[in-house]
Amino acid sequence: MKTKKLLKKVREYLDSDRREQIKRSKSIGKVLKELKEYERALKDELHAEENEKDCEPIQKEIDVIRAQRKKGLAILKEIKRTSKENSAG
Amino acid sequence: MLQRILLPAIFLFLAYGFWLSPNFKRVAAGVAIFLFGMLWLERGFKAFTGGTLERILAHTTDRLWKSLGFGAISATVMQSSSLVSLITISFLSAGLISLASGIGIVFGANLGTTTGAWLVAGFGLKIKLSAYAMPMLVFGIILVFQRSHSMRALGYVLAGLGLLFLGTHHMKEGFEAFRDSIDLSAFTVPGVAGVAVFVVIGALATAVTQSSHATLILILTALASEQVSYHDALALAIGTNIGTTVTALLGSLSSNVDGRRLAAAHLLFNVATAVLAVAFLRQLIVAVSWLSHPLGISPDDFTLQLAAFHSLFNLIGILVMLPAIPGLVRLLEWLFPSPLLSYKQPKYLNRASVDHPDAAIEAVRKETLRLYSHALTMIVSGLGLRKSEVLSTCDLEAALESSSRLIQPDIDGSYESNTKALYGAIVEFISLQRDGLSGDQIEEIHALRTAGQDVVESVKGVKHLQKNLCTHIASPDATLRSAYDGIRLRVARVLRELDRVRAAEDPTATLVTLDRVRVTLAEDDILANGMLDRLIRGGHIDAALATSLINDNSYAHDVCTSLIKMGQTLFGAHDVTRSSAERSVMLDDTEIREVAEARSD
Repeated sequence: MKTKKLLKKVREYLDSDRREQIKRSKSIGKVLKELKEYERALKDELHAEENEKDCEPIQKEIDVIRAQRKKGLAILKEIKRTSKENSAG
Repeated sequence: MLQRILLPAIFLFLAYGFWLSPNFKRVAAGVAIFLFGMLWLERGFKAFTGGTLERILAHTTDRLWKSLGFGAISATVMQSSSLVSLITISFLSAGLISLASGIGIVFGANLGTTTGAWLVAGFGLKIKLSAYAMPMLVFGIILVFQRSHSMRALGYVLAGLGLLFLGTHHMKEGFEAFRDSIDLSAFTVPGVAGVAVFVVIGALATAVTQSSHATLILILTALASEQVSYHDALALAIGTNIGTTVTALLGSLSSNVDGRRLAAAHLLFNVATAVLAVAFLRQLIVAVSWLSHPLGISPDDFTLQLAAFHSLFNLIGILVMLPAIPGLVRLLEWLFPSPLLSYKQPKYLNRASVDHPDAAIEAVRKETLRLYSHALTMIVSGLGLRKSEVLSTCDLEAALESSSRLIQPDIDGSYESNTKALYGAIVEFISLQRDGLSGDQIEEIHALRTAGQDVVESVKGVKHLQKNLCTHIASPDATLRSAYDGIRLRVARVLRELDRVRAAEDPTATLVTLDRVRVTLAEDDILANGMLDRLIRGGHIDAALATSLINDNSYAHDVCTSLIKMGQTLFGAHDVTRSSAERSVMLDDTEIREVAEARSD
């Protein structure tokens, strides 16, 4: 198991395309995590807001975050799929 | 003129020397191999760090001691104070660090580069360097041919080190053979004149090789083979400190006034340190021999004593000059005053930043922000508003009410003479970027170019809008006036949101807010189209006016879209990898429409 892990690490280091892909997916993952935290903060703000007019932009931002996260997750899924295909090939 | 004579003179001198002595040829070849190794090492480090060095530089220069430490450590690791100086000049020119920080880095680098002498005097002259050089060269060259960027960079570093070792080996061998034929120590002049002569020789040799490190290794090998006396070697080492400033002086020629100030500070520091070292040469020699005992240096090991002397006088120079840095900054700002720049002249773009991708990207970002600042003034006045009204929390609708008459600014003239010229300079600078850019850096620089284009497009859009705005916002027809006020309001709101995200400096908030503004824009479009239909159906406007209103709505939409796209690039994350990830999750036009439509359902 240890040798297998080590070989995986070496392969990741030597394969520049794969390294780029890992870097990209990590970076997108970080953005998605921050978006989730931002969404949570907005939801709290929305609950606390009493003025209906002020609720509208907050709700709109929540809708935007959902769309952005959906898009980001689809990209991550695609990266994972291609990386699996490449390692199988 | 001087260069035209100097180069052939150096060639003739060398050719005569080679013909006269094969040992001289060997020493000179050693220096050449050493310098070649330095070039490869610099190339490797530039590629290997992939902007890491620049990132550390940008974040660790808020305190003077940090700048000093950064200069000392980076020059120690890379064994090149010139590379550190050149990167510092590029960062200073791009407006990323202050002059005081830059001076701190250069002072620190002066100390850091002295570690090279310790390494060579401590190990290099005692072991057979060529034995290590050969495998390093072989492994290095194999790696240079690899596809992977970092492998190639590692290859350059390894081969560069191999060449450094090989060069030092040839210098050492050449001098050892020299010992039997010529005795250079016979040329020693007694007294202060002798010291001055060797200081000048050291300075000239460093100016020619462009490397104090190479000259110092040459001095150490000559000293080890007793070709020069200990005292003369000390004077030569002092000279190298003056000669090394040539690299920074040459580098500053292509930079702006800040780069010149830094190069002048470098020269002043090194000359002052050299004068101090010459004036207190005897005391320094005593101090070195006194320090030698606790450092474990034997009294007859002159090479290590030379390394200690080199470090000591640079350290004393730093201690003496450190309190003078604020005064030095004021003096340099007085000696090299900032030129009064017209808007069309670039402020941050200069050749010194071209070779350093991160500095170049930041320079482009800052210049594009400058382009936007000027465009903002034009757009706001084109809408018949004031910047203080748009970029505040005041009621925009009330501000529109009170500005029912436009003072027609000359957007066309300002666009032709300023905006186009500055954008042209940005595009030209971007085209100078060639090798060494990572995928993310290429993507970022293209995004910045597009952001500049978006700024230009938004100014053009307002230019088109202006004609009808002037006529219709003062129209007696309230319906028409209200339709055009709606157009102005949309653009002004976008400008206000952009100003808010710019001030907040929160990449996540920028990412969300600007896409939310785009959704609002899409919703406004639906509403504007509905309103237009109602106006035409109700017979409030004729066909000609309706066409104008459709066109102007479209111009306003384009202005807003361009401004938001610009904001997404300029006010988002500065880190290129993060910025690329943000671009991946930003919504495209179709997705924005989908969110807007889902909300209206």
